[in-house]
Amino acid sequence: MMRFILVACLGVLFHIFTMQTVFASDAAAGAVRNTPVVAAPVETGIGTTKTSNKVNTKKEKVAAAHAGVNSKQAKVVERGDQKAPAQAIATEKHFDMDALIERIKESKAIGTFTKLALRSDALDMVDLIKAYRRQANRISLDEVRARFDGLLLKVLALLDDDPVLSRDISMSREGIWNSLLEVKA
Amino acid sequence: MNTLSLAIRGGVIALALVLVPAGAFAVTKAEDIATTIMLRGQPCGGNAVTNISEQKDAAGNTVIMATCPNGKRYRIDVSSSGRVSVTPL
Repeated sequence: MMRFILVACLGVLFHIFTMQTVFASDAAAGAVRNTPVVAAPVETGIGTTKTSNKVNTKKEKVAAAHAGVNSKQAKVVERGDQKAPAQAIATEKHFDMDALIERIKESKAIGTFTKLALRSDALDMVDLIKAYRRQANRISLDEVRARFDGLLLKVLALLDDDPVLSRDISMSREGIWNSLLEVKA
Repeated sequence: MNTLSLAIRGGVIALALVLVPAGAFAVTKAEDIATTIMLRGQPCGGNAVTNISEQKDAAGNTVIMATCPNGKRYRIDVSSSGRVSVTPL
């Protein structure tokens, strides 16, 4: 009996030690992710026709999949009515767009058809921003931003079972928005 | 030594019991389709659909028909380019 109790206690202690190690490494990873770096949007531009349509589709997905920006060079959006986003670029935090996309693709919290539906919504968002930049509709930037926030909320709600990815996307909100604004009309 | 081995085994089992539920959130196809319907703004009345039928044509377009818990039947079109649209039947 005493031996059983001893074994159980050792098991619990081992478990606590392991969990502490896991939490410590997670906290360290979070600290690394939170490191502020001046970043800038990259060629999420759908109109950049340097390769095939497949590549463009991938870029659309990239811009649309609510991933972020991956570039090393700083760049400012030159738009008269975008003082706030331009300012936000300077304070934006670095995040890895490709890694986020891969994590969304591999996440089991969202099903395949749901991912496709979200992709469709995101492509619509890209089209809306293109139209806004061409002044093809009367929509204001605030309205576009409101739709973007709504779409992001949907994504975050769907990622309820994947809280780490949800948090990372939430933290990358401004970067994603800025990368969307970089999409060429 | 034997006691230490048992302790490690106990710890591994306890850890597995903690970690397994976190990874066991895979979505079923019925739930996935129901979420897609609701994401497109259609009422479904539940988290999983029934009576799923799926057809794929030569062009790569997929047509799925499913019934929601509220009794409504929907057609989900997935184009070859990945665009999704939901139509009530």
